[in-house]
Amino acid sequence: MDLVEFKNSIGVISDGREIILTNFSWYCIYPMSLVFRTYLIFFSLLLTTGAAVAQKKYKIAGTIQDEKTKAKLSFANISIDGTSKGTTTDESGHFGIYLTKGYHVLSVTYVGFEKVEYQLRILGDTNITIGLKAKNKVLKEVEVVDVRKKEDQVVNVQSSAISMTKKEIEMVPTIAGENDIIKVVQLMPGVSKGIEGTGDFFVRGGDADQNLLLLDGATIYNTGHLFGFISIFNSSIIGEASILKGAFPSYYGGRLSSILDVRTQSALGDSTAVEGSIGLISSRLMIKTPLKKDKVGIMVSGRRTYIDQVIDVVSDELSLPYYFYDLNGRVDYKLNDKHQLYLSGYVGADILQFERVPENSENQEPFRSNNDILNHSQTLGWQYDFPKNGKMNTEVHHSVFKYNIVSSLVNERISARSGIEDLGVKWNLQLPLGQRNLLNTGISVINHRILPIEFLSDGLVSEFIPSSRSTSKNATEMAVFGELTRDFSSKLRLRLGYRQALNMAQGTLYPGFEPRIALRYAINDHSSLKWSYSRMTQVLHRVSSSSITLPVDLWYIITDDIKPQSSDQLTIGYAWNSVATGFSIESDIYYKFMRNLTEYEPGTSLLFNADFESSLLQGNGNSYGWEIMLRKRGEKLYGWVSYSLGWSTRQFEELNDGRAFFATYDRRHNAAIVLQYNLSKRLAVSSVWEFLSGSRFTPVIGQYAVVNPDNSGVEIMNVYSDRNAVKLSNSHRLDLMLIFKSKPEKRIQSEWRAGLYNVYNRATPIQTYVSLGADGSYEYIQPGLFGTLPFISYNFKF
Amino acid sequence: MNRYAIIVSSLLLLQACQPEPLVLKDVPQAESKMVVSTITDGDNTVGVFLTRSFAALEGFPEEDAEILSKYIVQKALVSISGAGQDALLNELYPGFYASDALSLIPGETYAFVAYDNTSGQQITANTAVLEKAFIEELTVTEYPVGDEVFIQVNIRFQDLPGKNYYMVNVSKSDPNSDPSEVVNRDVHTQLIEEDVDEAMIKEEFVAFLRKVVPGDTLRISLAHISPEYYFYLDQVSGNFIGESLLSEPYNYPTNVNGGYGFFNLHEFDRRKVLFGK
Repeated sequence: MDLVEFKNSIGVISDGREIILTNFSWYCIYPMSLVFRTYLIFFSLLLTTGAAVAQKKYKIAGTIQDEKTKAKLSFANISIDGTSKGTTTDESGHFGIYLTKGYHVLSVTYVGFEKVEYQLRILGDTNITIGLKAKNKVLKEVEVVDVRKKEDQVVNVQSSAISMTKKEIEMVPTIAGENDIIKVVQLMPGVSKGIEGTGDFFVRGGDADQNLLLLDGATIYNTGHLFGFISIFNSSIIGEASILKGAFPSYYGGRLSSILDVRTQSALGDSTAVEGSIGLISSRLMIKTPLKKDKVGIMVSGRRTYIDQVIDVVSDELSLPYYFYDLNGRVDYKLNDKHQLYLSGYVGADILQFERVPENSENQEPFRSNNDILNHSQTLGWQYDFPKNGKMNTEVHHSVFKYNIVSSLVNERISARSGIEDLGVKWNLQLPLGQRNLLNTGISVINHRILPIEFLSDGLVSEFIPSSRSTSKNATEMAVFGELTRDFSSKLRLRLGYRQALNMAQGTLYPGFEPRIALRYAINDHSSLKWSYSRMTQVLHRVSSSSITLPVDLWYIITDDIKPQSSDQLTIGYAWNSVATGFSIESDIYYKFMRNLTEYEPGTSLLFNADFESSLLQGNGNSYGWEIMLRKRGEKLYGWVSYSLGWSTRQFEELNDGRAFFATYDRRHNAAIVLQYNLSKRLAVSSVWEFLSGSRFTPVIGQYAVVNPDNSGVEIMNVYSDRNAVKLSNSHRLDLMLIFKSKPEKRIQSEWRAGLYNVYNRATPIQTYVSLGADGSYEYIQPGLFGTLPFISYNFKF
Repeated sequence: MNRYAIIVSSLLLLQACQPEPLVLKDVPQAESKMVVSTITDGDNTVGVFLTRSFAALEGFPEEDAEILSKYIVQKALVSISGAGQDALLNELYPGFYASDALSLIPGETYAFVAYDNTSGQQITANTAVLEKAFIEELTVTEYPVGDEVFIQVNIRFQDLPGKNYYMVNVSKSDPNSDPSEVVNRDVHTQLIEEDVDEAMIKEEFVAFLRKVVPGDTLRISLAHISPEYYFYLDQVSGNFIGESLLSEPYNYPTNVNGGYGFFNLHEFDRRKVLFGK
């Protein structure tokens, strides 16, 4: 089919109207042509701009890596002695800095590694690789250096971003002692949690489905095992992780509120590394070994809960018919200094298989229930490094989330299943243009296949719950993006970007126009002010109750009736960093306006409801607030203090009589103190103290009796308050953990971790209901889920 | 100590660490409003039961039905007018107002007014009388599933012209029931929406009533109801497993201005059958 035929249609698109396409070929060819056409125009403009500003300085491009393992060190600090010049490595350990001809002393520092200094004689553009040596802990340590260097927070134009190290993930005491990146995210400013212990989080007043969770670029739709209480991200395999809450670069799209980008560690190295843990709920083991030194490496890691096996062994009468597992693997192949390939994969499942003969059963037929929740993802990546610190990344990713629940008794059977499958590719080019400009551009295409929900019933149960199936959906998310980051002076940096989303669902094209702007003004070497604006659009919705989210919530794509969500966010930020003391501060003010948010119609029952689409409502929301984070990254003391003040409201024509109401997780104040203090080389103590304003709830505030339809008695009906009219009680909680390490000179490094979750046994309310009090009067009580829980785990690595 | 005891002890220990629930103060309570329930029968008697809604903190009627007696509206002025008639309803029992002086004429609209002397509140409502539907054929058989016995109902009745809504109720007819068990949810209501004019509607369904066993007498009724009442019942039956975190909070609709409940004037066609015989 000739594209020329579609010229007129493209003209219609530019008017901002949606086009209904009726031919399958159209769906494929037309949006792709639009992507590439837009891309070429965009690319040419940026290229022209960049070329005009080239000056005569020489670029020093390089890579910082662990001298022993060759692992790339992200966010290492690079400075030029005697000048205010400085930079940091990016997520891949690369950096670039411009110097004039002559001699310069380049210093590199990174926590846990010895500082190195190189004397450079600059004659032209140069590429260097610098290896850092891990500090020998037996020796006297010479200097404490902040890992989050100037570039990361003060110099970098990016605001509203928090990176997390493996150390930070492992220092936080959690339920049952399971290291969990999601629990760490929930302690960051601007992030509030849902029901205690679960993996849902709410960023800057947004909803839980507005967070994009990526594992090596592949979308993860279900982030929790054990009904969400344990994250699927095995901490052994995490290389780096960051969460973006605003000031979104054009590289990212598809969700309104945040991007949690988790990258597994490289499998390259020159020696075998083993890491493992034995805990109360699960154990894990990771093995990383080179197949060819520094050229080819493989990493595999597994985790499984075994409490079911323990109970089977110790008791003939008890059984726990549940277990979860996950497996991660990664292969890295470095073809040469310029090309590197990697393949990573993840598979995880939660299995609940229940069988029981009902009491007093005459026929001894058992009731059976099988519940399987499955996640898996794969990513194939190729990185090409250009000579002058440019790089090109291409990733093909695939991910699946599905669940299948089957229950049966004699001839009665009911099953429910739902699933989403993604296949996508992302191509990204980072290209320095002259000394002051960096171009970042690319294309992303993801195809979604969705089976929202299917119920099948047999026997009598089909009388009550008839078989039903929502229509399968196929949708494509495409985007072309690009941005130019330019230093106008040593103080002023601007990042100007644009993302053109082209989303095709059910024959309808939904274009998303997403400008992104970020500005940084350096007050001095240690502090800067930042401003940003970003627009995001989202075509996937997670359909869940307003009160609770479950692993079996389903994902749903836009339709003619369900429009894409979109948001506009403005931020003003401040960053301060003291390299000498290891302290840093990041603070942001934000305002976010959200359109086409989804909620259910009042009275909708979510059980066995395949016709949920007709019950979905769309409305708007806005949120605003202030957040601050004080961080300390030292050898003795490590941790942070965070505080958020926020408001988040919603307004739907069909809800609350059209009046605005607070979002369910509108938590006014969130505060966390997360600290680890090394008492000695072998003993450390970690603690988390958290304060949360109560979430919002719609309680029963009255009742009345009406005669039932048969006139044979009365039924009691509830009267509810206005939507989310009541704030549950504030909560606070202290968790403590002691870490006892083996002697540093031992070949096998091990540690015991033992602690208490919720030390002073305080409830974190999840709902409220009326109950008879001790004095005989009725009162609203608010139960919590977890009281004081001890935990212990044994960790080792060599 | 055997291993089983160790596990049980451990679980008990963890249970002991459940945090004490917090008490939430100052939750605003619902304003008390009059509630209307209409009770019609085949003898031209129109009855209305008037109560008041009450605050959630007053207690649970499902556990203590006595509480309802405190919220019966007595000595109210209750009237129904329509089709050229105007009837003042007499309070036959506390809260139950009735009149046999009204003729219910299909197609006519009737207005309801109640004035509570105690609170000074007044409520109003309107409803149209619909043509009565009659059961042509009815069979009830056992439907065993495992160790349970359900009720298979086959009912046949003449459809009325136009778009219609019907309800079929199945409940236990028990003259010896405990009057204190006034709260009765053990009723199966089958809703039928009929858009096409059919000579005869055949509806087959299975009902499960907790307190019914073979040998009990069942009361089965058919009524032609208004779309508003159908929608209300549909919402109620949609939450058949009870309101929970899995259903969205919802205040049920009403056609009563200033109050709760429904003012209906539908007529029943009732049958009594012996279940399993």
